[in-house]
Amino acid sequence: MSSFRTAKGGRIKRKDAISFSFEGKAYTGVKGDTLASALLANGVHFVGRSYKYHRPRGIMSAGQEESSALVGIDRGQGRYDTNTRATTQELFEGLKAQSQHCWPSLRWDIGEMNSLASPILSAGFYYKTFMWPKSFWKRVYEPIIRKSAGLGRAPRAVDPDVYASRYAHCDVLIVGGGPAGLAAALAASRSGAKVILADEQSEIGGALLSDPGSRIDDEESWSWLASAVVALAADENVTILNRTTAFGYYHQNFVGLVERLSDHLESPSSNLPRERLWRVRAKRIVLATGAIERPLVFAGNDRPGVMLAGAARTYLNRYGVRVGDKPVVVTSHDSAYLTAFDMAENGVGVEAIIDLCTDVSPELLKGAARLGIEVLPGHTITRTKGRLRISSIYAAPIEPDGSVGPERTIDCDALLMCGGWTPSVHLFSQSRGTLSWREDIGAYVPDVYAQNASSAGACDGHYLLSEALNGGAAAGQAAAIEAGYKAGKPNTYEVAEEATCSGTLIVELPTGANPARIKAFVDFQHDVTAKDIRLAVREGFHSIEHIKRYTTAGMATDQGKTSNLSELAIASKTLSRPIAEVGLTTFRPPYTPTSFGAFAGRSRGNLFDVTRKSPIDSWAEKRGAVFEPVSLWRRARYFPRDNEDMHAAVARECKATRSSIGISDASTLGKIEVVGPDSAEFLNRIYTNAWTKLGVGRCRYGLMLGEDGFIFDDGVVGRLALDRFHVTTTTGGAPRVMAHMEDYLQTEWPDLDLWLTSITEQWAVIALNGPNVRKLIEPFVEGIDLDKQAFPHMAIKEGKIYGVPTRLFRVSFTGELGFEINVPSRYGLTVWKRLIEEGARYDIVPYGTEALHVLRAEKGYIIVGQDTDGTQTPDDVGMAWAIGRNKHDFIGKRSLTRPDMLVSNRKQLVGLLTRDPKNLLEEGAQIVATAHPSPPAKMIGHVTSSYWSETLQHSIAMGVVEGGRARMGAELYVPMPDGVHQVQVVEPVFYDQEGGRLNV
Amino acid sequence: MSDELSIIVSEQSNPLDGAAFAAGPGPMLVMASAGDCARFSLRTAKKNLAKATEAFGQVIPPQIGEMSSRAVKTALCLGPDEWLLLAPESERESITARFAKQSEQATHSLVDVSHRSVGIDISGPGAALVLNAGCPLDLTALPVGGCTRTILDKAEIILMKPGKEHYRLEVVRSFADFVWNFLSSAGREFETESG
Repeated sequence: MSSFRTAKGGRIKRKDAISFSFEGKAYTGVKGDTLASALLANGVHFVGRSYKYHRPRGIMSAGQEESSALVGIDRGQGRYDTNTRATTQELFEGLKAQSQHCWPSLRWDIGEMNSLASPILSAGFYYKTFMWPKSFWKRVYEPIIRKSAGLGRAPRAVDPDVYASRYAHCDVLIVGGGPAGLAAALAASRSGAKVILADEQSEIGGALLSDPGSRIDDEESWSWLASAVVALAADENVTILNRTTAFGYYHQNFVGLVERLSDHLESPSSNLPRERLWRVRAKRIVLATGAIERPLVFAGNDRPGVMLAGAARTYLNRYGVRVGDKPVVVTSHDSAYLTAFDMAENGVGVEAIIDLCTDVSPELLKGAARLGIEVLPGHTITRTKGRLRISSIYAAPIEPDGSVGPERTIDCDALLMCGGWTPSVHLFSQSRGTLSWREDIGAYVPDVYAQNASSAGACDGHYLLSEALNGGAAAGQAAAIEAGYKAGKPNTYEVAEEATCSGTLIVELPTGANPARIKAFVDFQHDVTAKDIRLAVREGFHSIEHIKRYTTAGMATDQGKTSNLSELAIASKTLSRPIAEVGLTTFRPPYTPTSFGAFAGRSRGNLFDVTRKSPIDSWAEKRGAVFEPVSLWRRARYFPRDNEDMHAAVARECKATRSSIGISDASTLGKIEVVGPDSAEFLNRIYTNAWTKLGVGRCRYGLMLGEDGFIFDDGVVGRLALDRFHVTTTTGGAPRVMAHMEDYLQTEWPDLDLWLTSITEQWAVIALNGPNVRKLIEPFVEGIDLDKQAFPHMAIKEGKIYGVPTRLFRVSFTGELGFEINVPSRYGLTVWKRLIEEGARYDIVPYGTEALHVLRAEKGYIIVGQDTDGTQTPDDVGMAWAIGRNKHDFIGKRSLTRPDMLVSNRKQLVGLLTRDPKNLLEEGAQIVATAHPSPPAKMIGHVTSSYWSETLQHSIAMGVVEGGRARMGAELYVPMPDGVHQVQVVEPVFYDQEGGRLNV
Repeated sequence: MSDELSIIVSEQSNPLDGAAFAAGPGPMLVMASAGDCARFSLRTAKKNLAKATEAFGQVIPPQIGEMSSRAVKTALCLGPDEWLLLAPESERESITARFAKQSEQATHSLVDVSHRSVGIDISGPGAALVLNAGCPLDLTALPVGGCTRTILDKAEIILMKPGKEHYRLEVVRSFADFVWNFLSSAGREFETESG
């Protein structure tokens, strides 16, 4: 057993020894230790270097508020974690911890020389020092500062851990498992309410874990705690979550919690998530988040061995560790006496209690006298000594005029300080509740609640154990009633011989030295001193939000949990304004640093996002298709054979389609079934085209505009019956077209009698194009006469193919004879395979989206979203023919007559042919009128589509050009990185202008 | 042609064909892809429900969130004028025909969506927990015999609760792999739960 372990007591398992290492050195702790308690048990206080001055720092606290003892924990490949607080890291066998902010070693750190330069590293130092020359900022200052200052280093390897998530609902969520939270949980659960009790520590109990000496209802506190936890655990309506931090309080009692599941384990199961993000919606919330002890501000208050008094008590009572053998206590609050008393009772010789207050309660004085502890009321500490560990302090009386009397040296190996307690109102403030300043306890406490919550215990400014228990019980009972349960009178608890617990808010200790020359730390993690705050105020920063940003106080990973109030008090004093007038900085989530993994959850790898696959996707994958994402879908882009590149594959696929048969998977097209007596009228209003006269069994290309008159989507619509249409949309546009239609149907035209049903995934769609398609499918189609006259271009009919029901479309997006075979999705793959098999005799070739784009561009068919960008009218793309002239109205009609829509030099879609047929224009390239215009050149349009056409042995392109149709035959220019290309404006139909191939 | 038909019908393919998963002691969680069935989206005015019930051959409930299930037919009320009807594949044509006969007296839209989605059965003491990994609803508030349209992580689903520890979800085909992978990823947690 190490030298600073007490003989008995604590909640540790003394027989279970645990080996670990810190800075490469091996140590032994015991089960139940944190890294901090194990180090202290080994006499190690000095664990890190500070952020700016690289001053030696020790362990300051025993909880998540720790600002100094930040370490890196290495759990193996990809599991390096930075900025872990040694005070919350549970010890496990083989734990490896490293200090941060030091180089080359913790003991000999080169950055310590920053301390010598401290006069220039003052508040606003970044803003003042590194403004000039500007170019130095990115190349010199920032990299160097980042490297030497850094808050740990980010891991680079992929995180192998799994992060889980869970939504939960409850009647009462209780945050904090201390005495107030426990009493609340007991009271609420008794009513039958569904309760979640969350606590950030490894063990439920909060302050009780450090306080074995109190007696609750004549029972030892730890025995009371054990029965309370057993009772709650046995209640199936209660969920106890330890190691769980409520990090954010959002709207409507929605709280985010992170449960840490494996960081405390030596070798967790691979199925065990590292953390679980809980998203809890609670009817009522009881905040029992406790309070955080404040350090005092004096010269040399940051040496290793200087610690919060309450932390020392925790180490003693909970972990069986003496933080020193001859400690001195300095305090402005009664609670520190309890630490001194407990230590003395454990045989530690407490050198002195330096009390900043003059009138100390007789009970405390009596207690000190009984234990032989010297009390120095009305005294201050002026400075401390000791490089890597505190060795002595200088105490001096505070004279009635506020000056400081003669100093006296007291040797010590630990200095335990207490500047009072700050209620943890973080979550309350996040809930948008407002705080009020209580002068009597020197703290902000919850005042007006914005959500269904209440507070109990220390977070509400009630520090006594009896207040916490009784306040918690009342809050728990009230919460259950508010949540709709019948709850009887709450328990009342009696605590025997409770000591007083008051103090004075004295933040900065009186000193005889020049306050501008001493380093009295306020924010230990960001190395902000009292004089930095005074300097900021002197330089004109009077709002606390500005002071915070200028000095960086409260901006580190601890978010100023121990420093915010001190900062505020110093600013208020410097400004000569009451604290309540200076205001508070905003509390923002997360309460404590939360891993990115917890937020990402399972959204990584194949769960990062949905990849929608068509029913035929597996065939394409086996065939070696190269895929491209189209909205959430993946579609085959081309099907390379042997070692073909895309160019070769696409050329082959296009050629095969034009000469015999190409087959393509069009299943991803959006499809909507429109059914009801008013269907045609609805389509009349949604599309520019006229639908009333479309015959049953016929199809029409439809164009859809937004209210702005610009093209929104397009697709073929087939009429299956007088009251039934099969609408198709673009792949990417399907969800928004459906929403657009539903929006109008529900909000504008509720009088129309029809319904919309998404059938995108009901049908697999196989597009067959080429002169031999009819010959291929004719033998296998039942119930549909495929004859040219009976089933002409733009027809639809229901029948069967290979015995499977089909909706057969005769449509073409390639300019060839084309059929689109719709079969119910589960049949899609089989029908496709059959067609491939049967098509072998016609050298059938599967083609992907790239060939599809070339084939349609050869015919001048537009793609909405490629050839249009949301600023094209039907006329702009040469489709004025699609507008039903006699229609009373349709969406966008009115906009089409706005003067701006009628000007002659609107950008219009044209074809572009390069002078050199081999020259391929870049899509997106700008178009200018002269070969070498003087800058700034007027851009009169841009290229929207550009491909190599194997069929035409010429590159082809489409683009939008101002007054394009009036420029037919004109020469224009397209500047590209490799030079300016001359192009000729042509009609945007490059192949089979007469359309004869469609109608065979 | 009838020979062709029989061959083809046996060659249907679903994204989750044969998928099955079990985890935890008990087991805590059992998941399996549900068999194929006929599905219809029915849209009509509430006043036509009696007629629709007649055509479907099973009560069609009027309240959103209600589900009526008897023998092998289930009707889910998903919206003020929207129902999902599930029935054995063998009854698909007869149901379609009976509704078609009514279209004069009771206007409605009956669309065959049999192939649009796939079903997943989830049961065991961990069923609600695995769903709550990605579904924000309070599933204890969903009564046995209830149903709802909701989300599971990034996917929209229809969720039914046929039993206290039994859920059935419906998800459109192309989201099925994602939903299955999500659920089985979350379900693996039960392999480690020791209480």
